[in-house]
Amino acid sequence: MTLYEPLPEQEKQQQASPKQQGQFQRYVTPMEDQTRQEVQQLPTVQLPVSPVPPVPPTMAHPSQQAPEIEGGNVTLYRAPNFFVLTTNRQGRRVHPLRRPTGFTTNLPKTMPQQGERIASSATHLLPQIAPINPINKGRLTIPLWLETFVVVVGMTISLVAHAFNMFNFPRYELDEGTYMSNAWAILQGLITPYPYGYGHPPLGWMQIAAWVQLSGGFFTFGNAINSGRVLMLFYALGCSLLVYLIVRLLSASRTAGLLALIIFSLSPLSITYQRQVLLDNIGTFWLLLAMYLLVVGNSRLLYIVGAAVSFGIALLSKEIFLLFLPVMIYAIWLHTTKFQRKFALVAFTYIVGAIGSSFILLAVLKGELFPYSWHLPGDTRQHLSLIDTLIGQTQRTQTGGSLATSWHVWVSGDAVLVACSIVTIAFNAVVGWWKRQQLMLALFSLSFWLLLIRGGIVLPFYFIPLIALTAINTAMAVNTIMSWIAKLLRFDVVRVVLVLVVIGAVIPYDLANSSIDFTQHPTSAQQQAIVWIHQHVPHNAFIVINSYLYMDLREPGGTGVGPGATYPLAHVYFNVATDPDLHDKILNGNWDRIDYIVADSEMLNDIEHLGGPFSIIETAREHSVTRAVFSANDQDSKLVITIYQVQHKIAQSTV
Amino acid sequence: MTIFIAFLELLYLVIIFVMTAQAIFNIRLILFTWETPEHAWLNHAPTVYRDPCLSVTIMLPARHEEDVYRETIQKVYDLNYPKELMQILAICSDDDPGTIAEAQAKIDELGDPNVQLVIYDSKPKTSKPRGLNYALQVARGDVVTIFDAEDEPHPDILNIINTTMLDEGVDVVQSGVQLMNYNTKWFCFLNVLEYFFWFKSSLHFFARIGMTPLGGNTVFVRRELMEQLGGWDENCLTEDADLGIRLCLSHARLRIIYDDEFVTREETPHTLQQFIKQRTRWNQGFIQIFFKWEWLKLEKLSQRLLACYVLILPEVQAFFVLMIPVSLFMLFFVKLPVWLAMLTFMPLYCFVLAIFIEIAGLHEFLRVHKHKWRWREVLILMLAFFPYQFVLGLGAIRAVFRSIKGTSNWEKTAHIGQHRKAVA
Repeated sequence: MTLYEPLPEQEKQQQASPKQQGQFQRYVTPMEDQTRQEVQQLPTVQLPVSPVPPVPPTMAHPSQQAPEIEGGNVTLYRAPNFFVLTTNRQGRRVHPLRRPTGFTTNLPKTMPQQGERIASSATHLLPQIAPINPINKGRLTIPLWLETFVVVVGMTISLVAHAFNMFNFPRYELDEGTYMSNAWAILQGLITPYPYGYGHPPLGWMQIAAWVQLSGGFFTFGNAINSGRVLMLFYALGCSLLVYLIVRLLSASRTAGLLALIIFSLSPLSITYQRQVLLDNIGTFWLLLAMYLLVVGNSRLLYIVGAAVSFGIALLSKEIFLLFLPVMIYAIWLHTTKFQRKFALVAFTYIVGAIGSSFILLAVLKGELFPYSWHLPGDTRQHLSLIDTLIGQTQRTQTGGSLATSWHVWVSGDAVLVACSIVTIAFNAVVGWWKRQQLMLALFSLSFWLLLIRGGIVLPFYFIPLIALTAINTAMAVNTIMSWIAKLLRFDVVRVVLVLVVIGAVIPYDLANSSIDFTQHPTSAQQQAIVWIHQHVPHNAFIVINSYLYMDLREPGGTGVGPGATYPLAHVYFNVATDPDLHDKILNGNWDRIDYIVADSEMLNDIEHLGGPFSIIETAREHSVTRAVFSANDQDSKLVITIYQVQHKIAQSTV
Repeated sequence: MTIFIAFLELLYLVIIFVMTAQAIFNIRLILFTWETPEHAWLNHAPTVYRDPCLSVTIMLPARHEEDVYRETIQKVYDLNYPKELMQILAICSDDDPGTIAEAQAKIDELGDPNVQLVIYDSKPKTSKPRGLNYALQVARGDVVTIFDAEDEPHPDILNIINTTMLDEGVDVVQSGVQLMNYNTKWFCFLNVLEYFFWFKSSLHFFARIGMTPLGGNTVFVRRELMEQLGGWDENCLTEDADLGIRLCLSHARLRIIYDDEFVTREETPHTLQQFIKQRTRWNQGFIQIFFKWEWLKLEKLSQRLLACYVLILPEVQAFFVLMIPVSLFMLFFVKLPVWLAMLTFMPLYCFVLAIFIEIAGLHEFLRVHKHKWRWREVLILMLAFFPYQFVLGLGAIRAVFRSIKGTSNWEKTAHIGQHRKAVA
């Protein structure tokens, strides 16, 4: 029935394919004596139709009809509803439907230009899907249980180092109290307890709020900040695991991963700062997760979307992580195949942008994008604004904290880590000429250093993201150097041993430098102050406090409240000064309405030197007597907390 | 009253979530091919051809195609394949003497008895599937395929199909169809890209699930299978999609190939009116298939869900288009809580992502077809995105309207060969 003589190869082929033997029963076409209505019903014929009894054609099959020749045309077949025409040439067989035309030639064994086609196909049009950095498997085989065991031991060391003494050292900072009280505000349906000024995006303390809900309230671990510090412990553990995994994937060396884990977990700077409830710790976790997803995804789009979401969360936890965006985009470029690169870049950049822009959307929807001072039409209510805050932040000078002061703190904490963080940038940038992943890592660190040296405000805890990045960079650099040595000796085990030696050197160095992390108790002074307030201060008193006391005085169950009534008029000094509602309405600008001031030395310093609206607290302090002083050793200095009671001019003291 | 408002708010939220889910799923379909590096091979055509073995019957249904038909027959006849293994069937109805004359003249010129003309009577009505069913009765190739009158198949396409069918033992091969005149009208960019993503990416996802509405041409089906299925559904306006579902029902093995080099080139409808008419016909065909309920016989739930999604998608999208003014109203005149107001922006974010992916697609399209990248065109694409959705919605609403009224005549799309000029 076909138009050609079947070739022997083809017969073989047809026999080889089982479906043609079994599945297809030759279906006899219903012929044209059947009415069109029947033909129209055909599509609903159910499958499979075997066995189909052959329908005896009552009209001649196309192959049996005699052709009608008229001039240049020949009608091959005629049926009630249609007919088939073709051309008629002298000397040619006119019935191609029945038998071969007679012009059939032997088929060529290869197609014309087959050789050229093969040659050209190797050089173009094949999809380019080799990843730029295929993840190479380590050459030494170690069973998975052993690797898991070693990592678990490393993580346990990290856990102990971070957890031991974490409620006592370092002392509770202003920021920690702020974020805890913000988390509390989230649970109350607000963004911050005081009017929200767009200083940081709220997702960081939303995560704390979720943790508080999960862990059963603010005071499961003592005071509110302790609860936050437990969450930070989990973030720190997550980070150490991610650091291990990232380095293990990038360097294909487990020992290098272990080195990174140890540097990251045991550095004195890490132990100090990662205990504190800081948005940087949260953001670092999400940044590392994004990097890990990118590296492990091996150019799969779903992982890149995951990395984008993760990086977006990092942005919304701490806006400063935006400066990693260019390097992240470079990392995406590096880790995707050419085939997917365009779509991966678009998806990543857009998703990050979309998640990040939701912060601006929040301001727009609340009508707080543009400053009130611009007096835009329809903007009648006095409010804080995103743009105002942004301008304020870019204009902040180094009075709050300078690079030099922070540098001093870092160097006295862990000089080797600080040195590594600079040296390895240079080293990895050079090696990056041959191995692009190391260039990428160097760029990660470099972009953060650029922020630190830009000349704006720099606080010591700004170093947090650099701890992880430096650990990764250092481990990669050490592994590179050691593999050179091993290559010289032509024995890869040498590399492993040498990296293990470095780990052996890092641990005692770190532990020797971080002894105060495990021994000092600066928070005891702060906890004593809370207890004193609980015992001595009436509940209707207006107390000016630092933010770390806020939750424990305001929320039922707090350590300063216990089962009794809360202190609804305990307010953070910064907001007492700057919030018009507090300063102008509740206090009516009158220092005499303040009853107590609980201040540490930084707070006193702020009150004295910031001036302006802060003078109301300063005046109140000048009219007060010292009721109690608590002090404790804090690193090289002493933490002193003083409780002042304001001596009222008028007898009626409370608001 | 407050309960009523709360209910409305909840309903609005549910619609927002459905819109977002649909938009994300749509983006997933569009990007399916680029999800993993291995997917690159899905579209890769064989580079080394086997000896031609399978004979092919090429059907060329045409109606009022005097301008382009002659050229089309010549192009198909010129395909790189032994002439003995090709049967070309030009299909016309007898009320279209112009096209018949063109075809006859061409057949006479070629002088090859394997080039044949099928003329069927125009009563009770002319329809493409009817012509195809008649042609199937005289088709003698191992494989049957359809090209539309304005198509420009790649010269090597038959070798590729021959190799693929023999190597992979598949019953059906759908090769890529690509609109080429991407910059003639404002809606062309998005229409071209729609084809680009549909054939290059979405169809692979459909094939993986096992529910593939095929394209109208460059589909190669083993003739025996075609006859077993009983040909095309003559009452369906989109007999191609219907055939796809029936092929899936019959567990035919299916292969999708979209190699940019070997796509069949087509043109977009040349006016907006034509475009809406074409969409109306497609959507109406989908509605017909939906109410045939054959898709319910698909085995797996995922297949049935996907079939349902594909068939009613145009109407759902039309509904979403209608939601745009509603959401604008809600944004400006209804004071929603801030978190709810932020959630209502999710579909918009997804739409904008879709625009950027379209731009990336345009870049890819221009690169593989060696056209120049122009920022002006990107701007037109961006501006055209929402009007285009609106036009699609219009097509869907029109289809629903016509379905209810019971009008089911074939609104034919005219062809003037824009893609040929564009390529030349």
